[in-house]
Amino acid sequence: MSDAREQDTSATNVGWTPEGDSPTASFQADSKLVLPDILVPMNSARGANERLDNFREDPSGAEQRAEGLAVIERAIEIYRQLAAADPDTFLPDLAGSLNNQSVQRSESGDRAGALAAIDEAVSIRRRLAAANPDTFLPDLAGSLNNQSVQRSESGDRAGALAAIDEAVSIRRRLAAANPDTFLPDLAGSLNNQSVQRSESGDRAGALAAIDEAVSVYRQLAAADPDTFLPDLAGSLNNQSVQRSESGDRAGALAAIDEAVSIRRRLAAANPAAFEPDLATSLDNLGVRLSGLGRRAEALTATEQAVEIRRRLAAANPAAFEPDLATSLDNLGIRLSGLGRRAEALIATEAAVEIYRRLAAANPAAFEPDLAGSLSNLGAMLSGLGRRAEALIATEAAVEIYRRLAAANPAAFEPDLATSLSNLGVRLSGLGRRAEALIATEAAVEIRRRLAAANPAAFEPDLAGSLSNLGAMLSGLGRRAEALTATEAAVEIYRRLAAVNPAGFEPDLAGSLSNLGIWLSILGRRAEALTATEQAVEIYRRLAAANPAAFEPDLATSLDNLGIRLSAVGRRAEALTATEQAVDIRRRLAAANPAAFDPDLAGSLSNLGIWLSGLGRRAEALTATEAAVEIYRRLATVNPAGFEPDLAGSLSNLGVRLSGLGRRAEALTATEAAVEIYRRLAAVNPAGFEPDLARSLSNLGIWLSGLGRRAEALTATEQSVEIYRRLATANPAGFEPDLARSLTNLGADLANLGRRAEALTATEQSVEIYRRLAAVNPAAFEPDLARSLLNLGAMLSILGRRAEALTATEEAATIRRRLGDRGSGSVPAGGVTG
Amino acid sequence: MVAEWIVALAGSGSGALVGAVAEDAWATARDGVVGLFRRAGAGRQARIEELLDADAATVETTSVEERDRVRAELETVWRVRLMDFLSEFPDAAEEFAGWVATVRAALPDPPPSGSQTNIAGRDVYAVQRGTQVFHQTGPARSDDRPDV
Repeated sequence: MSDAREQDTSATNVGWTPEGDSPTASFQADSKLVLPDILVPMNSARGANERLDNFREDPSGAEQRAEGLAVIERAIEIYRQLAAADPDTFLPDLAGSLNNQSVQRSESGDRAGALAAIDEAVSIRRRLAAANPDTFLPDLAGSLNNQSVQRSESGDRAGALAAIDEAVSIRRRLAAANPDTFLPDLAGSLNNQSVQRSESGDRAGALAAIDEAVSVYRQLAAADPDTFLPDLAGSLNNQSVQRSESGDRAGALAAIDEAVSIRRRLAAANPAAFEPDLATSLDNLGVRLSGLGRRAEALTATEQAVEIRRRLAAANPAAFEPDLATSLDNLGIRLSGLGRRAEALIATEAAVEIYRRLAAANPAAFEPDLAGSLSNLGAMLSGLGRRAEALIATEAAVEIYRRLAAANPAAFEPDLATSLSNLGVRLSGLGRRAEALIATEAAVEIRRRLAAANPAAFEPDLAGSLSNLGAMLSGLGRRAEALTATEAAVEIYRRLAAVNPAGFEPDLAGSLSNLGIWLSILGRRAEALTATEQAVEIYRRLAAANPAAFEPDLATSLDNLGIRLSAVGRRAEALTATEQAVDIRRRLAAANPAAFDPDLAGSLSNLGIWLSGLGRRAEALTATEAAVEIYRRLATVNPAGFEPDLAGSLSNLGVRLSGLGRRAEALTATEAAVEIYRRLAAVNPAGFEPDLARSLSNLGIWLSGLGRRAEALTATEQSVEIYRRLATANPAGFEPDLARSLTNLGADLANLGRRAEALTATEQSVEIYRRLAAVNPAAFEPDLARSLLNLGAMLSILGRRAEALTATEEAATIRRRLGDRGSGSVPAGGVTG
Repeated sequence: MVAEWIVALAGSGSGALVGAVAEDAWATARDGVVGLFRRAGAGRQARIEELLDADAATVETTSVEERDRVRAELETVWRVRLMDFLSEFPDAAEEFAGWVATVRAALPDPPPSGSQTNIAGRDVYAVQRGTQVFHQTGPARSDDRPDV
C-alpha cells in the first residue's frame, strides 16, 4: 500500500493516501468573514450599550454573554412598547436593537433566534427606507449585510447571497453619491459578498468582489492609514483565500504576505488591538505556504500564531481559547505534514480538549468546532496506526454532525457528508469494508442532493466522494461499479478543470490515478495505462511550475505508472518511471526524512520488483533491502503505523532472496513477515488476514523449495483456510486469492504424493477461475490457463489421459490467444488424438 | 495411475525438448519428436510438427526476461503430451530414451533428468505498492472574526 499527498484548499482539504494506510485528513484555518454591524442604540438603552461593548470585548464569556443578552432583550421590550405608541420615533430604535440582538444570539450559537431577529430588523428598516430613503437606506444596507451572514450560518446560501447582493447594490449607490461616508461600508459588504459568492461556488465572482474590496481599502488606506490599514489587511487576508480557491497559489501567498506584514506593523504599535488579527493571518500564511509545499516555513508561521494565541488565551481564556484551539488544530496539520506525527497528535488532542470544554458549556456555539477537531484527531491517530482509536474519534464527529444536521440540515449536511466520508476511510482501514461502503454511500447520497441544488458549490465534494466510493466498491470486489463511480468522479473533475485548471487539475490527476487502478484490476491494461499516463502528465506540468507542492504527487504517479507499464510488459519503461520516482523521493527524504521516508521505501520496494523482473537480481535485492531497512527504522519508532509496511517489505525480501537461490534467508525473511501479520491479524482480523494469508502462501513456497514439504503444506493450508473464510463473506473480493491458494495447495499435496487431494484442490481452483474468466476474461484467463496446466499435469499422472490432454490443450489455446493479443506467453495448443 | 517410468521419461523428454528451443540442439530435438509421433499416424504427426514450430517461435520471440517462465509453462504442456504419447505407445520407450539422451548431450546446460511433477503455476506474492487515492475532506474552519 502506498503513497500520499495532502492538499489544502480553503473549503476542503483533500488527503491523498497510501493504499491501505490510513489517510491524513486536514483542515485549515481560512477566513470566512463575518461582519455584524453593531449599531449603537440611544438614550434609554445607554446602559445596555456600555454592557454591549463589554460583551464585545469578551465575546466568548458565557457569563457576559448571558448578561448582554438579558440587557438587549430588556431594551427590545422597552422599544417595542414605545414603538407601539409612537412608531415614527421608536421603530428605528427597535430595528437597531433587533439588529444587535441578532449579533448576540449568533455569538451564543442560537442561529434560529439570530435569524429571526435580523429578519425582523430588515423588515422594519425596509418599511422605513421606503418612506424615507435618504435617512434609512444606510441602516437597511447594514441589516441586509447582517441578514446575509445569519442566512449563511443557517445554511441558506441562496438567501445569503440575495441579501448581500442587495446590500452591495444599495451601498454602491450611496458611495457613488457620497464616497467619503459610504465607501468603507461598500468595501465591507463587497468583502462579505465575496464570501457568499465563494460559498455558492462562484469562485470567479468571489475573486472579483474581494479584488474590488481590496482596491477600495487600498485607496482609503492611502489617504488615512490609521483608520483603514486594518481593513486593508483584513481584505487582503480574504483575497488570499479567494486566490487560493481559484488555484492562484502564488497570488494567494502574496496577498497573505502583505496582510501579515501590515498586521505585524499594527501589532507592534498596538499589540492588544492587533495581535489577534496577526495570529489569524499567520495561521492562514501557514496554510498557504503548506499548499506550496513549503512545509517548514508553514510550520514556523503556524507556531507563531499558536504562540500569540497561547499568550492571549492565558490572559483571557474565555475570549481567546477558541482561537487557540483553531491554531492548535492547524499546528497538528503542519506537524503531520512534516511527518512529526506524535507531536501532531499532541497539538490536535489539545485542540480537542479545549473544544470539549467549550462545547460542554455552550454546545450550540462550539459543537461544530469540536466535531471538526475530532475529525482531525481521527486522521492523526490513523496516521499513527492507532486505527481503533481513530475510528472512535471519527465516529464521535459523525455523531455530532448527525445531530446538528437533523436540527439544521441546510447548515450541517455538508459537514455531515464530510465526516461520513472520513468514517468510510477509517472503517476501510480497519478492514470493515461493508460498513465503510455504507458510510461512503451515505456521504455520496447527501452530496448528490447538495450538488443537484447547487452544482458549483458541491460538485467538487461529490467528485471526491465518488472517488472514495470507487475505492470502497473495489475493496468489496464490486469492480465494475467501482469503475463507474470513479469514471463519474473523473468526468466531474475534467469539467471543473476545463474551466479552472489551476483549481482542479490536481484533483483530476488524483482521480485519474484511481481510474488507472480500477481499470487495471479489471484487466483493461491499456486503458489503465492511458489514465495513469494522463495523471503523470498533469503532475509533471504542475511540478514543473511548483516543485515543492507537486513533486510528491508526481513521484506517486510515476510509481503507479511503473506498475501499469509493467502490467503491459514494458518492463524497461516501468523501471525508468520507478527510478524517477525514487530519485524524487530520495531528494525529498533527504530534506525531510520523517515526511518522505515512507514514500521512498515504497518506491524502493517497487524498484526491487522491476529490477528483478529484468533479471537484475542483485540490484533488486539492494533496493528491497533498503526498503526493509527504512521500514524497520520507522516501525521501531511507530510500530502501529509501520509494522504492516515492514511485513510487506520483508515478504518482498523473501522473494528477492529466493530468486538469488538464498532460500534459507528467504525463508527467514518470510517467517518474520508472517509473524508480524499474525500479530496484527490477531488484533484486527478484518484488516490483516488477507496479508497474513498472502505471506503464508509465500512461506509455503519457500518451505517447499527447501524440501520441507509437510511444513509447506501446513502453511499453504492455513492460507487456503483464511481465503476460504474471506471468500465466503466477500466472494468478489477474495475468490481470486482463494483460487490462487488452491493452485498452490494442489502443488503441495502433489509433492507429498497425495494426488487425489491435489487433483481436488486444483479442480476447485480451475472451477473458480473459469467462473471469474467468464465474467472478466482479460483479468482471469491467464490464471485459468495456469491452473489448467496444473490440472493437466495431475490428470496425466493419474493416467486420465484424455482429460489431461483436454485440460492441457485448453490451457495452451488460451495462452496462444493471449499471446496474439500481446498479453502473455504463447505455448501453442491443440493436439488431439 | 500412470506408470512411474512414463512420468520420469516424459519429464526428462519435456525438459530436454524445451531446453533445446532456441539452441543448436533444436533440430535434433524437433526431428526426434516428429519421428516418434509417426506411430500416431500422419495427421497427428503433422499436427505435432505444427505445435513444435509454433512453440519454438514463441520462445524465440519472447523477451529474455520472460523466457524462463514461458519455458516452464511449455515444459508442463509437453510433459502431458509426451506422457500421453508414451501411455499410448509404451513400445516407443527405447527410441524415446535414446532421443532424450541425444538431445541432452547436445545441450550446453542440460536440465536434471526424470524431473518430478512440476507445477507450472505457483504464485509468489510480491507486495507491490500502488497508490489508491482517497479524497478525504476535513472541515473548513472559520478563523476570522469581524474584520471590518
